Amino acid sequence: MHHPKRFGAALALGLALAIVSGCERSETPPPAPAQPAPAATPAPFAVKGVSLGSSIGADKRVGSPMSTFAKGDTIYASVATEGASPSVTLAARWTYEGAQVVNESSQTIAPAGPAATEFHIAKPDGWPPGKYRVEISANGVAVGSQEFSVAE
Amino acid sequence: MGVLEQLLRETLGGADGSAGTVVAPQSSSLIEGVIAMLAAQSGAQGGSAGGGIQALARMFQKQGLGDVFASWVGAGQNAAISPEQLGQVFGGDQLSHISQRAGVSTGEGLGMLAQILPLVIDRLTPQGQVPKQDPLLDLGQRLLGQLGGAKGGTRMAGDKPKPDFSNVTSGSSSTAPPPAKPAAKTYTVVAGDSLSKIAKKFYGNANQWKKIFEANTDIIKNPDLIKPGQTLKIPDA
Repeated sequence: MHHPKRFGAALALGLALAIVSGCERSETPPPAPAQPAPAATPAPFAVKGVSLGSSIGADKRVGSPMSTFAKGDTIYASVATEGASPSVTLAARWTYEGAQVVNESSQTIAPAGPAATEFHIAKPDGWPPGKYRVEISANGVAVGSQEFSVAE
Repeated sequence: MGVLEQLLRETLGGADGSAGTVVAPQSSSLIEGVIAMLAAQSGAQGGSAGGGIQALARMFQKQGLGDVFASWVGAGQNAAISPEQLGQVFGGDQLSHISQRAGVSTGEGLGMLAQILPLVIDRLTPQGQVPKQDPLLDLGQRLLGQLGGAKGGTRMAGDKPKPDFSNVTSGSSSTAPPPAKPAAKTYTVVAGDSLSKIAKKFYGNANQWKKIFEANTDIIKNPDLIKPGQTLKIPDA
């Protein structure tokens, strides 16, 4: 005679437990399986800018960029780059009054991140006054230029 | 218009009867540089050696290119000359200076000279031989005068001399390191190997064995005698 009553109580208790455990599951989902961190991809190599000056620091950057030089100045072109490359050749081509080549030089580097590369030219008997230009290329592709002048 | 440009126009124009042949300023300047160089060399040798076509011919003969030059002087087809061959004749320093003065790179200068020099020599020797009055000698003296390299020359009105940048010094440096050198390739000798076999394996050509031998003279004294276990340096092909 007592069996139906006890069965009903057990059923109610089971249902209550099921509801409670269901609510708990929805509040605290199981942690997602650990994912391996994505490998850091180095940024592609790029030239950020070219600046000119009459001196550079140990960081190969010009202290105060300028565009007009004196006859006896050594002229520096600092090329700021970012990104990595196993090998890239930066080249500087200096010209005078649009056509006459003053000098060409290059530097091959393997940057792993931000870097600065400087090119410089000097003329013992002084620069002829006029307009000059330096063109920078990376692996033969033009990536920047700056114009400057030498005062009388 | 410069002395040479004017004369080149007349000279080249004479070939097809037109007087207005266009001569690129850089070509004119390059030829001008060559002629001035010859004249300067002549001056340095006391003027007796001559700075004209004959001197140029001797420079080509020294490099085994006498036949090529002779074809430009003689009647008939002008033999072609490559920029590389022309580079051997004039030498890197001279060409660099001449090209720089013309406002072009050395490579560009060589390419342009290889095209125009045969034509100029051909036109200056219409009888198939060098005239008694060598036209380059006269041009050279006038150009030296124009360039300020000789006394007595007269600068033509309107000609602005180009600055000389041949003494410009340059340099470069970077915060980035230079590229790492690739590790030297090596090979460990096994029984039955010979330098020829190894050369065939790495270069596809057994005749290249000498290259491997020369890179390993510290451990190989006799190229016919290599021992299993020896580690050989394999130079790049």
